[in-house]
Amino acid sequence: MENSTIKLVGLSKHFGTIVAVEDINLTVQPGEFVTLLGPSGCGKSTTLRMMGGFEIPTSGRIYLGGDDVTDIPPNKRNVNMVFQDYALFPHMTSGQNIAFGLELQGKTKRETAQRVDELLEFMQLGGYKDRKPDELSGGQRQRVALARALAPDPRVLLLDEPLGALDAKLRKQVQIELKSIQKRTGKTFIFVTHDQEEALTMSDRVLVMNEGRIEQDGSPKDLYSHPETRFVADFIGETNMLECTVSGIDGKHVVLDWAGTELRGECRSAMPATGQSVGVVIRPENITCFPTKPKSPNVIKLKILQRVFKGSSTTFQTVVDESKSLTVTLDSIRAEKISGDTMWVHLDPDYLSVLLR
Amino acid sequence: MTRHTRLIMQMIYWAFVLYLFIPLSLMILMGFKDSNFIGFPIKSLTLDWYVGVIQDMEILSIFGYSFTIAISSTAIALVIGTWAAMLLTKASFKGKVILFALITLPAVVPGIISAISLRIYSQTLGIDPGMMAVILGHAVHSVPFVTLVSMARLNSQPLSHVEAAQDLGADKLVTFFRITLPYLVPALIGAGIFCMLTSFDDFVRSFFLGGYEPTLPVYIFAQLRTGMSPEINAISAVVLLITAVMGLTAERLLRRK
Repeated sequence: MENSTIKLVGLSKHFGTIVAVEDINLTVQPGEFVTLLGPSGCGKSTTLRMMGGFEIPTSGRIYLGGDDVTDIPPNKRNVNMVFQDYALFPHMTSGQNIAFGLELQGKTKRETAQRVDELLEFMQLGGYKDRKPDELSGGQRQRVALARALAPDPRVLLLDEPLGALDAKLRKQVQIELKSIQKRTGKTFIFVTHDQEEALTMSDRVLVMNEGRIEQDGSPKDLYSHPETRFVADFIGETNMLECTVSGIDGKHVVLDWAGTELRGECRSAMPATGQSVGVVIRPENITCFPTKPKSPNVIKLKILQRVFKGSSTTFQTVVDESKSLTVTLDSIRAEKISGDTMWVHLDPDYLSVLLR
Repeated sequence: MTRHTRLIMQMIYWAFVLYLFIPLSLMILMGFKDSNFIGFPIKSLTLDWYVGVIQDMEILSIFGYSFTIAISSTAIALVIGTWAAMLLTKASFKGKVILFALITLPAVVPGIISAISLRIYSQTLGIDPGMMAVILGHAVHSVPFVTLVSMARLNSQPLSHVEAAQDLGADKLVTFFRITLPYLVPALIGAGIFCMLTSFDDFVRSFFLGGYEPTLPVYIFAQLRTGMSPEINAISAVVLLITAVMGLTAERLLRRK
């Protein structure tokens, strides 16, 4: 616990009768890049603002490096925030913006100036010290905001959708930059976004939030390949959702009945009961495909309705029969070998996740 | 729009401009007339009246007096108005609507009513008619303008600026002086110049609250009663010049953000 940078225990926030955040528990390790991901109104920003001290939790505690900071106001809390609109002070230059927090820490002029120059250098803003925010580009402003928040050397850096205002091309570039800045500084970053791609690209760990609760907490790879709830499966990437009935358990696999087709899938949480209706997901690109019938279980014959060429990959819209459809994505090179209007696919049980919720 | 209607619209516009500016031009013109009486015909022109105004110590001191009142009342109004605006936009308390109504009321109370009531009130407080009473009276009248303009500006200030300042370690006082006040400055300059012009121009309150020393409008009024002379025109032209320059400067400062 002394090792954790920030720890949330049973954190809730209610606005009147509206539940914004409900019973969040989270322990963040030093140097972790953690992302709170979810649709708007899922409580991710409120959670972040509670960590920053801008919202007072209805219940629960917040610990920073072992100290209870729940009732400490933002100006006395050793965390800093990068705001969605950057919130750069418009009447101050980049340098003055970055110096603001240092001056308030009581640093001497010399120390402040040195740290400001250091950060400007670090953020590749060398020549922009005396520019006002409205004389900077979106990307530069974002870096000044980041430098300003890093300047007082916070324990945790909070980032509230800081890439939202950038255009798509710049955003990709800044994602990589941000990740490398986090690596180089070794700081703990807590990042909030509704953009799943952003979350997957940058994070060590992603918490998917929905209606004030954490749906799943895991590495980007885990979330993508092994979603635990329907919400996560649906929210992240494209997926096939198969409505099945559990017909039994076979070792570590769950035997499923997909409207007459027998499948085997894996279940990471508690095993479901026989007869239970469950959602089963598989990513379109995790489906392997053969021109003729292979010799393994979980093999289905598909009728191809449409093929869509997308450059490096090709997506097939297919059906098993009138009640069951599947989307399959293949490398375009492999897709070329599929001719005719049928194909055989193998649904690897390890990628066929059974969802109880 | 046909050509005819456009032509008529343009003529109406120019007629309006003439209507506005002919009296002012005449006033300025008469200030150059080489005669003791205002009116046509003008036989010859002179700068004597202007020279007279600039050399007349009494008029200069009256200018100074009005100016002091304008600056002092504006300074008071800026402090109180900003304070009130902060209270009305940032704080939440019972009776906020009532406070807002009370603060803005002086802007809509007829001048004569407010002048008489201020006169009575200041005497109850033991403030004799004179500079102090006029300054306070003008300040009361100016506060609503400063409050309204500041409130509009404060409402456009992103909350995140204040939060960012707090996040970086600033308490409320530091946040106000280093973040919010600089953000308010353009609005305060505009409101300040407006209040100074209003104070400079005010007759009713100055007349009722003033002592023996007249402000400029009161002086001009007194002069008019003893008969028009081109000297009045010269004074007025100088006032016009000063106020126009101030107004235009304020406008430019405000537009530059």
